Amino acid sequence: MSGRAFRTAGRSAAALAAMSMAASPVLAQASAVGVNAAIRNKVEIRSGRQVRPAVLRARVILNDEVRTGPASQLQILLLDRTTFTVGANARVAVDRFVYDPAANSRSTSVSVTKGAFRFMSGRNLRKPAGSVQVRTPVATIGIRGTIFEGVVGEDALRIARAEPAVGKKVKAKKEEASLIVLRGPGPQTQGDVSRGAIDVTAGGQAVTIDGPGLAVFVPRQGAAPIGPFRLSAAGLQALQALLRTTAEPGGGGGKKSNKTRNTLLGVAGGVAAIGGASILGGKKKKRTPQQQPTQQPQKPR
Amino acid sequence: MVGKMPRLLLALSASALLPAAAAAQDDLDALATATEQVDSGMALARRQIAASDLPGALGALERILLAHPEAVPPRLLYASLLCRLDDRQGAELELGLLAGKQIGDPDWAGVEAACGAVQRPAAPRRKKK
Repeated sequence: MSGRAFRTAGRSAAALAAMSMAASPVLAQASAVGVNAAIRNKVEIRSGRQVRPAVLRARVILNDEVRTGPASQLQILLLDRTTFTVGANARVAVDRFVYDPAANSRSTSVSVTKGAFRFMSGRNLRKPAGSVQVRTPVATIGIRGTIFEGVVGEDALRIARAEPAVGKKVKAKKEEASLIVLRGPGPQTQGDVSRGAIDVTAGGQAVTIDGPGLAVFVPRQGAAPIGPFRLSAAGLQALQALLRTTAEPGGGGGKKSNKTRNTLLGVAGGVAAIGGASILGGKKKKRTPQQQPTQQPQKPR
Repeated sequence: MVGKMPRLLLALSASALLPAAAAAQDDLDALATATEQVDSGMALARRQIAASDLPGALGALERILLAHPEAVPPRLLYASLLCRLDDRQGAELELGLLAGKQIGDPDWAGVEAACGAVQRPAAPRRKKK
């Protein structure tokens, strides 16, 4: 927890609670930043040296690490109603979570070191207040009330290299390459929701993305973002394959494919909390049926 | 800074907020519980849509689909929401996953209302006896 975050949190009683959690190791351990709202297949939580299977509705506790396996997903609901979905083979850490509902202010930082993720801003999406960031090994994504997805690692490189805007010859580091794509809300959004945007900073340069389907790729540490470019349908499908909620091809899946695991110690947390959670993942890449074309859907087996 | 603050005061402040914190957690529990089943999850998503909480509804539908990936109405509503959020490419991707599924006309009308003209997924094949 940084001094800056403390200053951010320091003006309200709720923020004071957050401060006290950090001041007291016991309280900090007990504070929760959200819950495991949905789990699919293999998801594990690492808390210190202990690794346990994740459990539905268990609290997301500060500094926990979460690991997802192949064809596995976890949806975390944070206290500010932000939804963070972790895809297959991922490793993510929530570095900071400060939320003051009275002031509609929040400060959130999530690190993704590997795998795919989807971020959906919480309530009052049209009035974001405070700093919300997602960090990858090579980029920082500043969020302005939006829905976006990303992937870090080999999958990012694989997807990006198939995009004409990136190309196969791009010099990249497969462990840290990061692909980020904005999903919405776009300029034609209906209803009481404003257009979203993200600012991707890497290699000393910042690129703003404000249109659905636009993406940037950061190939390695120190490199500037490539893009924005429009992610192809195939690229989006490949990304979705890591995040997707689909059954097995031909109608498998369903309840039988959902193995709810046990873990994540849950303790009632603060309205304001400062947190860290992580999601780690394996290597095997099992593709679920997002390979299907969108315009000419396949028949089920 | 924090290290210099009286820990007792801090702890008392935190304790005073625990009921509110617990209530917030309870709210999250309720949201997660509602989406364990398709019907209750759909009802939640529709309430959120009515309240203009489209991202919240999207999250609810995502949870339903994680637990029930074969369910058709949640995916149709999910696709509709993507259209409303101006993510037509994403919506078409979702609809493509429904090939071979039985889609009711009222459900499809909801998709068209949100997305406009869009290709309807292929109907299911009859199984050979």
